[in-house]
Amino acid sequence: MKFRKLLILFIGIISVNGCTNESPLISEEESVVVWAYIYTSEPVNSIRLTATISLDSEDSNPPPINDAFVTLIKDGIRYECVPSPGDSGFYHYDGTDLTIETFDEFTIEIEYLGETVTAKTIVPESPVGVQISSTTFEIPDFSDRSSLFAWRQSENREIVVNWDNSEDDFYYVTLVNIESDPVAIESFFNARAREFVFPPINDDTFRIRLPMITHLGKHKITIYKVNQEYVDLYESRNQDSRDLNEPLTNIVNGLGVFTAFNSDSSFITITQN
Amino acid sequence: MKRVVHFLIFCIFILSLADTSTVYAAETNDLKGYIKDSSSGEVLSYANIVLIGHDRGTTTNLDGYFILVNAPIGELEIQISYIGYSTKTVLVNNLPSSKEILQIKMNSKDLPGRGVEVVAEAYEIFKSSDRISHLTLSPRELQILPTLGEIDIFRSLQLLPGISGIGDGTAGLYVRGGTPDQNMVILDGMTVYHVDHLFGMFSAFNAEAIKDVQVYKGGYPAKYGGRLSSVVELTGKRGGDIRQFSLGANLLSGNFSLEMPILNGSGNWLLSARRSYTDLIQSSQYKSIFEFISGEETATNQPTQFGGGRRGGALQQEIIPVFYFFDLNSKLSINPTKKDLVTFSIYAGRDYLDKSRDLQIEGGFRNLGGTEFDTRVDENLTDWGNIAGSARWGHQWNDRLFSNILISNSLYTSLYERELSFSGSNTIGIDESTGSARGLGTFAQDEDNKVNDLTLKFDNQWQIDENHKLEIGSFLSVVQTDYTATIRDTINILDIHSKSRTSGFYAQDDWNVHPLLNLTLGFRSTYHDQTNRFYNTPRLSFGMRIFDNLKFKGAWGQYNQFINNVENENVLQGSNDFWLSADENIEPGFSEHSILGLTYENRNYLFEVEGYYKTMENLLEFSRRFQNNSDYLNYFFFGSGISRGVEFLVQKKFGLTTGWLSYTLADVEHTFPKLNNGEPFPASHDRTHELKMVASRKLGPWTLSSTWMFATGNAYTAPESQYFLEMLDGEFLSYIHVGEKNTYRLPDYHRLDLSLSRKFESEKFVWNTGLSIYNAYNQNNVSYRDYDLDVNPIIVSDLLMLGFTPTLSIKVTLR
Repeated sequence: MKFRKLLILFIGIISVNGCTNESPLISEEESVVVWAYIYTSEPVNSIRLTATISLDSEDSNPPPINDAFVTLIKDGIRYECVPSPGDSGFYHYDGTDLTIETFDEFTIEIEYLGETVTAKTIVPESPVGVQISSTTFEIPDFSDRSSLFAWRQSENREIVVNWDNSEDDFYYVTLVNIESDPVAIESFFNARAREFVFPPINDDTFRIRLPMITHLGKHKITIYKVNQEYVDLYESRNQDSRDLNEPLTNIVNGLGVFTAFNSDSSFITITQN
Repeated sequence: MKRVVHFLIFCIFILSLADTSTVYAAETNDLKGYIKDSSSGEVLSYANIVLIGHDRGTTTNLDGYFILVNAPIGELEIQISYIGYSTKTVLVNNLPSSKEILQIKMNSKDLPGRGVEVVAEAYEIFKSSDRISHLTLSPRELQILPTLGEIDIFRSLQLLPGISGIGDGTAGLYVRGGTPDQNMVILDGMTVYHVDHLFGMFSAFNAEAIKDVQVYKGGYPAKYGGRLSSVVELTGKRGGDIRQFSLGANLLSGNFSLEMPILNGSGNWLLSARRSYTDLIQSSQYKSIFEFISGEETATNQPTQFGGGRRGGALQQEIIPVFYFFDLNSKLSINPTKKDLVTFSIYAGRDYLDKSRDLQIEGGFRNLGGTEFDTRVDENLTDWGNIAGSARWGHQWNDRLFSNILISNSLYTSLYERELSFSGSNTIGIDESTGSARGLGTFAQDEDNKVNDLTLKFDNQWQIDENHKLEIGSFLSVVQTDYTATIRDTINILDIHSKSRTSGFYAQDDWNVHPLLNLTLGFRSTYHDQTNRFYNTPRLSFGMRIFDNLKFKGAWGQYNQFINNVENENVLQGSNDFWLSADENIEPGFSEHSILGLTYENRNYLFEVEGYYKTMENLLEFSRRFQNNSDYLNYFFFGSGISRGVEFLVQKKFGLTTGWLSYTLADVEHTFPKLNNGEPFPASHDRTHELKMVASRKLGPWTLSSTWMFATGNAYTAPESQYFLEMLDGEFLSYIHVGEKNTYRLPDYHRLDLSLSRKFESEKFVWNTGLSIYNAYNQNNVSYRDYDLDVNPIIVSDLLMLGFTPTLSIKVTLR
């Protein structure tokens, strides 16, 4: 009898308890998110600062931070960056005295709301021994869209890009149509499809399937050597609560990435008979 | 300080051995015999024998043999108790120089069904031992407990204080803050590495083939080693003097068991097998279990969903998972002479899942447009299992000295193969790091894990006198582990091969210092060739009777572990984990247990409280996500842990209603220098509160049982905000910024299970039937939280555990 009463009591307790509905969302704590990419022999214009947003926000446009003080430091010399026009959160360096070369070590320092956010990166060396298997590619003349699709499905030719990679480093490959007035193979291919950027790989070969190309003309194939901090962005995406950890970042007191790239290029021309 | 403690223990140990000089008068004689089941003749291991009026007792060994050395001459009363059997008192006339070997037969508590009315006793599922943190479980009694279809030894153990599962999907045991791989699971001397079926839903041991289960939750004796937390030793049925055949079935599987005497009664053979028919008939129960395991229940269980971003074109998906499991136990026992027993045991278990599926998407995987469908063929196979065998020769040199030589081989294999291939006009790319569609090609991933354990043991038990029982032994174990994870058949993500040899000896004295005080002193030394080191681990336990029914108990000991089970992230990849031997890179684990307890026990009730403090070093954590900041091979992190807690148990053992109530207050804290900024964090399996109630009630021929458990929600790492980064290819990757590791908790877990069972008997058949209801009030317990980052806003989904699940079972035994 006592046992029964005890059981009823427990079930009562847990019934009350069962009605509570904890929100899995934790209140927002704003942090600075850094997206800063620098390239050898190119101007510094790809530094962007945004803020974190709450988990339940439907906003896919992160709030930009336009009023921070951004400084690049190389060899102890400080290069002050300025906000780019518009409400974008972009910053750039106006001067011409800043050079970005292989093995340069850069520090980025951001002052925002009394907090200092920093990160370091080293410019990697340029890819060595870049070769492509062909410099031209001819495609047939398609009578209609379905024949194009049939060709894309049946055609298996590919261009092989090779480089030296004895250290098992990471690289990524881009394929960009560089014609000033490119001609689309089919009208529904938009300009966006002129550029293909593939995720980083730690290999010495990449195969680009040629039927994926959407525009005629000259294409630039660029092989970028990337630092580990960029690879980490791909590697540390989290999915569920069983093993949720902070994504890897090289930003101290903030989030995101600050990294440098070095590259080498080759070209291929696409024609149609 | 440690050296001083070790020295003191060693001195006590030597002194204890020296204290054998007590001279006994000629008016004594050894009392010895076998304890057996009255109906089948099966010998009963670990039965308790008490010499009434003399404050003395002993237990039977593995072969059901006992000896009370130097028992007084004359009329003696001995009381024998064994879980699941009616306690029996026997009058014995102990004559001087008598060589009689008693044959005592115990009546199972099932016997009332055959016409004998016994109302004062009921089922007792477990029995607490005189040794602290040690208990015996009776597999034959488990049939009255609610189940998920299978009578499950490990899930039943999870109902005991200090032993947890971390959810519905695990039959693994988390003992006092330890992980499942920190339990030594032994079946007839074989180490079993594959201890569950159906991705952890059921334990891999067929209760029909198991006779006895000994559980040491901590402070375990020197005879055992190689694990940081606990020992579960299962003894397979040997078979008795009569032939028995039984058939059973439930909504998931069928089983049979055959026991028969052979060689004119000088031997026995048992064969038991179980196989699921889930690949042939997929019951609603199987479907709900599978949906829970695979996480595919999410779509219908999203209590918290925020927004609903576009997820691509129209999908057509066809999933026909093929799954089955089986296990087989066979045991051959032969008595070549009256003093020899040879047994051969085989255990085999396997799980197989083919989760291949086709996925079609309109307009291509990058949604470039068009009306045609691209197809992704996903070959997804998982196959894992354990096959093990042992041969044991037991020899009785004289009444007081026994030896056992055992050779065993246990082979565990786990294979996971996945291959994604694409076809279609719009398919343009494949992301090789994630396997998502980015290119027309093939993405293949394989994981292969093998453990081959060859062990030789030599155990000796010597009952020196009534105050000392000495156990000494030696062991040699060669364990080879291979783990390979590859992508596209060529790129090795991990390729680890290790062969380690451990050898050593142990010695232990069970010393009755005083009629009121028992002390067990032990020492185990292990040489591990990979690290070229000796690991010396002292052990100590005691029991002191304060009053007649009140006992103060304690234990302290050090333990090592030379093989680790590494948890994988994806529940459906491989067997969810893989085994790796310790070597020069992965240091053997170390733990130290300190336990104190009080027990009050009378005929009707047991009250027990135990407190423990356990430190653990060289713990291993595995993550595929962080590759540039790890301690070893990109994925491994090393750390330490502390587990502490207090357990309360009240057990009602007698009457028509029996059961127990237990409460555990515990804390498990890990510290990994390279995780969580080196700050301590709660382990994923940390549960602050656990309350468990188990009750069974006889209602005429029926038995009604219920189990209810409440536990603090599992610790998890919670996201605190989200952010975006634009990658160089223009793709926006969304990330979540997370809080400190494991500082948040899932909702508290609670569940009520019910069962109603009945036994029908006729002259030739015995029918056991049962109805079980799992999660009777359909509580939405949360397994884990899923964050879908591919949509905006992020979808947060609670992956639920099993809901209301009824199941039926039936078993028929031919007499």
